[in-house]
Amino acid sequence: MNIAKLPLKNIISYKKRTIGLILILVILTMSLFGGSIFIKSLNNGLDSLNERLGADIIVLPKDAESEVDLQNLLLQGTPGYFYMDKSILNDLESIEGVDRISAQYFLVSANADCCSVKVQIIGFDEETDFTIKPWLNESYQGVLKDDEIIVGSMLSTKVGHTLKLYGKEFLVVGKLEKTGTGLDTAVYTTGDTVKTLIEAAEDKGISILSKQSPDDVISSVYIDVKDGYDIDTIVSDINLNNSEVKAVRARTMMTSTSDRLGIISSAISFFVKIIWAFAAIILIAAFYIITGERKKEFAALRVIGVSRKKLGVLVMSEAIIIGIIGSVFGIIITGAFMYSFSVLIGTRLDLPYLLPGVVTTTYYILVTFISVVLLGTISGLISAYRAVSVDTARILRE
Amino acid sequence: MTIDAKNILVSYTKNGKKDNTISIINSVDITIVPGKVTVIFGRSGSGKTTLISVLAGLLKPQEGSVLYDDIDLYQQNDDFISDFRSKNIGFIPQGQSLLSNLTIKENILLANNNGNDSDRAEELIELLGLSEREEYLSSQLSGGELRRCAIARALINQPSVVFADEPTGDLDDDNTQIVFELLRQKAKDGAAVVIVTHDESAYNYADIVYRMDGGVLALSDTQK
Repeated sequence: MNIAKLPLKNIISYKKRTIGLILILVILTMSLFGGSIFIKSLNNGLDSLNERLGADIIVLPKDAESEVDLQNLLLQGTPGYFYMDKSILNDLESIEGVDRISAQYFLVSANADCCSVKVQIIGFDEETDFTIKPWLNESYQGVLKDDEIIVGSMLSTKVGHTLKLYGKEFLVVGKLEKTGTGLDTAVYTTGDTVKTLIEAAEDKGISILSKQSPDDVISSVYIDVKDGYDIDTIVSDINLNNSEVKAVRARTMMTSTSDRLGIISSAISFFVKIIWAFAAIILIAAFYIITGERKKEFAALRVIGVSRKKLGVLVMSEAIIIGIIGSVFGIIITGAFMYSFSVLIGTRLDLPYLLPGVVTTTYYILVTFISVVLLGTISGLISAYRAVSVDTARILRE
Repeated sequence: MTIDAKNILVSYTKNGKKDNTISIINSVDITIVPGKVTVIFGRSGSGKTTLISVLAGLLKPQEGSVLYDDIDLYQQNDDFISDFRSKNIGFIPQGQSLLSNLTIKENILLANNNGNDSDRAEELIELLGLSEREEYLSSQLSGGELRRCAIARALINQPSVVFADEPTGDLDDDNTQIVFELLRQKAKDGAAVVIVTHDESAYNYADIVYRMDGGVLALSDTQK
C-alpha cells in the first residue's frame, strides 16, 4: 500500500460517494453529448433534404392537399400520390428564365414483399431528371431499365433481390445511403415504369386515375431557374397563368420545417446549458462538501508525512479519475441510446433526422470528454485547495 | 537527533481582532535529547498538543525556532518538512487518525517509506496485540485497538523521534504498560521520545518530566 494507490482505493471503497459523483458527471455528459448529437442530426436531416430537393421551384396540382402530401412524403415518409395534366410541362418550359425542367410520378404500392407497410414509388424521367439522378448515381451508375428499381436505405431488401409491386417483379439494382428523410422508405424507378404500374393497378381493380390515361398525367414538376432570374417572379408567373397548378419555391416549402428545427435546437441548447449550470454547481458543491468531511483523513495523511503538494495531487487524481469514468459511461450510454433509437427518434419527431458520421461523432465525443473531465478537474482543484489548506494541528486538537 | 526549540510562541486571534489574541504557547524553550523519554504532563487545554504539533513540523509558530540538529525546520518549505517528518518522525495523534477504508495493515504500510515493509508491519502488529485484527478495517476496531494501530503506524519507519499525544488514552492497564514499554524501548534504541499525557503512570517510564500549564512549560519539581 502506498500513497499512489490511494486515489483508486478511495474511489472503490467509498461506493456511495463515487456513484453519486459519477451520476452527476453522467448526466452532464448525456446532456452535452446527447444534445449535440441530436441537434446535429436535425441539421443533417434538413441539409440532406434540401440537397435532395435540388430544384428552385416545385410545381404541384392545385389540389389543397398536394403540398402537404409532398411535405409528409419528404419529412415522414408517408406515402401519397396526386396527379395533374401533363400538358403543363409545355407551358412551364416556355417561361423565360426556366433552365431545366423535369417531371416526377408518384404512386403508392398496394403491398410489397419487402415491407409491412405501403411504400412510396417515385418515378423520374431518365432524360430530363436533374434532382434525383445525381444522388441515385451514388449507388447506381447505369441507366435504369423498365424492370429495375433503386430502394431507399430503410427498405429491408438487398441489391440483387427482387421486389413485387402490383404483381410485377422488379430487380433491386441499388440501395441508397441513409438521408434521414421520408425518402429513405421510397422506391425509385423510371416514369415509364410508374405508368406501367398504374395500369397494372387498374388491371387489378385498384382505381388510381379517374378518367385520364397514365400517359397523360404527371405528379410534380421540378424547375431549375437560370442564373440572373428572380425565382419568386417565376413562381408568381406560374401561379397567375396556370389555375390548375400551384408553384412553390423549394426553399419556402422547407421554411416551416426549418423554423421548427430552429426552435427545437434552441430549446435543446437552452436545456443543455441549464443542466450544465445546475450540474456544475452541484458537482462543485458536492466536491466541496466531501472535502470538508475528509479533513480528518487529510490531517492523518499530513501526520505521516504527505506534503500539501502530494495531498493536492491525490485529491485532483480522484477528481480526474471520477471525471474520466463519468464521461466514458455517459458517452457509452448516450451513444448506445442515440444510435439504437435513431429511427424511432426520427419517426417521433416527424422531422428529417440524420445521425452524424464517424468523424463528427468522434469530434463530439472528444469535446464532451474534455469538457466533462475539465469540469471534474476544476471541481477537484477547489477540493484540492481546501485539502492543502487544512490546519492539521487544529484538527488534531479537535 | 536532538531537537532544540527556542522561544516558541503560538497564539490565535479570535474573530480576526488583534486585541482578541489568545496565547496558546508562551515563549517555550525545550530541548529533546535522543535516547530519553521526555514526558510532558498537563491538563486539557494547557497547550501540550499544540507544542508537539510545533515540534513535529505540523504547526508553524508565530515566533521561535525548532532545530533538528542543525536543521532549522521552519526555514524549510513544506515538501522538505513533510519528507523529513516521514523519514524521521513518528507521530501518534490523540484522536482517531486512521483511514477508515483501509485495513489495519494497509494503514500501517501507508506510512511506510518504501510502502511494502510487510515484515516490519506484522512485527509491530503482533507486538501490539493486533494480529487477529490485521485485515480489519479501522471502522471495525475499538478505541484501544485504533490507538495501538496508530502507534504501530508511527513506528513503522524506525523513526529517530517519536511524539505521542495521550498514547494510552483508550487503553486498559495491560495495554498501557505494553505501549509505555514499547516507547521506552524506542528510547533505549536511541530515539528521542516525547509523550504528552495526563496519565500519571507515564512518570514511571520518563527520563525527563515537564509540566505545562496555560501555555507555559516548566521542568517538573519531581524530576527523576
